[in-house]
Amino acid sequence: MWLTQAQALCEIFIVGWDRWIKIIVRACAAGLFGLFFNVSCLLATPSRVVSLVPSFTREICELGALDILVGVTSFRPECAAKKQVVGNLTEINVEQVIALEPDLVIASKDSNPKKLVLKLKSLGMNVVVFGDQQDFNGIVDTFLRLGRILGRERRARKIVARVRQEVKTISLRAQGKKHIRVFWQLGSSPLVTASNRTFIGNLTRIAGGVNIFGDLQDRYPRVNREEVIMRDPDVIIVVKNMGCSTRDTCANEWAHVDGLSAVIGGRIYTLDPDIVCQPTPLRFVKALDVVSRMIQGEAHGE
Amino acid sequence: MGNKRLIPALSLGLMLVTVMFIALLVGGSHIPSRDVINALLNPRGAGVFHTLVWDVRLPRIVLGTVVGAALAGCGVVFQAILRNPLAEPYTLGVSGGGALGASLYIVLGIGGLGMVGMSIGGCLISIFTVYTIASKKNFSNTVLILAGVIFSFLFSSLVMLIFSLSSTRDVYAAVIWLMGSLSSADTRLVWLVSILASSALIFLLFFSRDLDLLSLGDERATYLGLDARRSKVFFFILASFVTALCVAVAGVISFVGLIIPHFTRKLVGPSHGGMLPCAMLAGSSFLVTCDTVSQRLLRPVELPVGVITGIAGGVFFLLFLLRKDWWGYD
Repeated sequence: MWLTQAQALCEIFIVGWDRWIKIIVRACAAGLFGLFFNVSCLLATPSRVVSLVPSFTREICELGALDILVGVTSFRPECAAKKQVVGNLTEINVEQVIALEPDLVIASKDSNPKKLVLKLKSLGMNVVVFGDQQDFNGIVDTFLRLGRILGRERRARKIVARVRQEVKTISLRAQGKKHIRVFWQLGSSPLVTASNRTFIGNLTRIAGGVNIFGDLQDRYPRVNREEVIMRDPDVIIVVKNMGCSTRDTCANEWAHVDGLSAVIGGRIYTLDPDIVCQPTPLRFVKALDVVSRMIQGEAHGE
Repeated sequence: MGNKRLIPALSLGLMLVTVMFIALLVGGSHIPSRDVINALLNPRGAGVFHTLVWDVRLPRIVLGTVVGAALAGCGVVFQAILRNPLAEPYTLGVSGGGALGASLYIVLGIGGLGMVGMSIGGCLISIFTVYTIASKKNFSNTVLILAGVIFSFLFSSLVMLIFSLSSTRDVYAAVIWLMGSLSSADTRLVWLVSILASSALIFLLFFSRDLDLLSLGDERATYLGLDARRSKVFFFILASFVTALCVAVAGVISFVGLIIPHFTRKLVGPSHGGMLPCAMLAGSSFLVTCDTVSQRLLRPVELPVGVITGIAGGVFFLLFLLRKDWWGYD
């Protein structure tokens, strides 16, 4: 009884065995084919690219790949001013994208709705979606990946090496000094700031500052005016155009608060939003340079 | 009869004082109660707690009180003159104009008047256009409401148009502004708006008899000796102007102007002599409470006060509707 059962099992196993082999061979073939196909896709450098994200448009400029860029969004850096516009922040004209016959469409998880990406993919477009860029490493990885895809890997590596060097120099400058408490004001009424889960938080840390709202979970939380005073920042950095347009109104908001360290030290700075709103490696290092000088107190009267 | 009005008014007044005091103690950051009271008792003192209490908490509470009273009071006025239970301070397009002005300022950087100036300008433009259209049709309620709704749509479409042509960060700033907030940075502005709005509200209280007549309908009001048209224009302009002030300084805060009038109508009866002041007191208490909750709930992160008023108001309104005997309109 037991023997026959075991035999039957063995037979099933044996019969199943060659079926398994068949399956494995097929899978390998499919995998190899897929791999080959993918590699060939990657090897073929795109010749017509549409960028649906302003910061990637800027990176394409920086990579010197402007000649293969055919479509951009209405908000674009100067370098891409002459390119065909395919839509804006809220709406992308899918027909216009198709009409440009791109072999690569670049989108981002943060800026473009998933629906749009699915739609473009269903129409047979080759869409590459990039993840979010919360810190310097994320920005660099994205930049390198973009460079690889666009066949500008050498240039991307060169830029990244240079940028890394500069970031290192700036972070060394801040080393050994006292940690400076920094408050970022991204919006005035209501008050909006950035936590450490953003590249602004990352920037602050490298520049030798401590973001007073770094502990918050939200990436761009609305915070209470009272809490800013309680946490008593040494430096206040106000990003312009975020609810207040002139330096006077922004700085005056805090000027009347007696006893605030930033007011006593006269260290309320304003910053152009373009510097911190487009996360590319070159912009990051530029922003880092400006911000580190603010934090280290070398930017008087800016 | 006197008691029937006086007792609710007094208890609402007492509630407002209590709520204001609790708001002063709770606030948006942790300060020991003793330090708050110390700072409060020494108006000429110094130090961080003093700044927090006198320059941040107090103006915010005063603004909440005034805006709450103004929205509720204007809600009462609009429901009376339009004879419509769904009317609220924003029905006639004031908020749409304010939003357009603010968006123009934030997104396009147009206007040297500043944010407040631009949104007041937007409100005034919408008041003026609705007035002009309604005046051609003898200020009939239908025309007023339709003109208001149409202009609301028109303005919100223009705001969307502006948004669709702008960059993310500007849109973000504008949307955040539109959600409404009592956290104004400019203390002088808070005092100015508070004085203007509260004097307008007190002025309004003297005309509660006219509201009683108007809520009977234009024809009956005229028979009873009221120049219905003139009186309506007066209320429309005054209430819209007060709403415009609120929108300019605190953004669009929903539900206060809709819920509170219904609540007080049930509490003290439909006569405006009692209802108008009670609505103002209740509106103040409601908004100050909601603002305190919005600050305390996720401290130090602040929720938009409109979210709290919307949720609290929505739940309240549903309960109100379900209790049929409470509903005064069927």
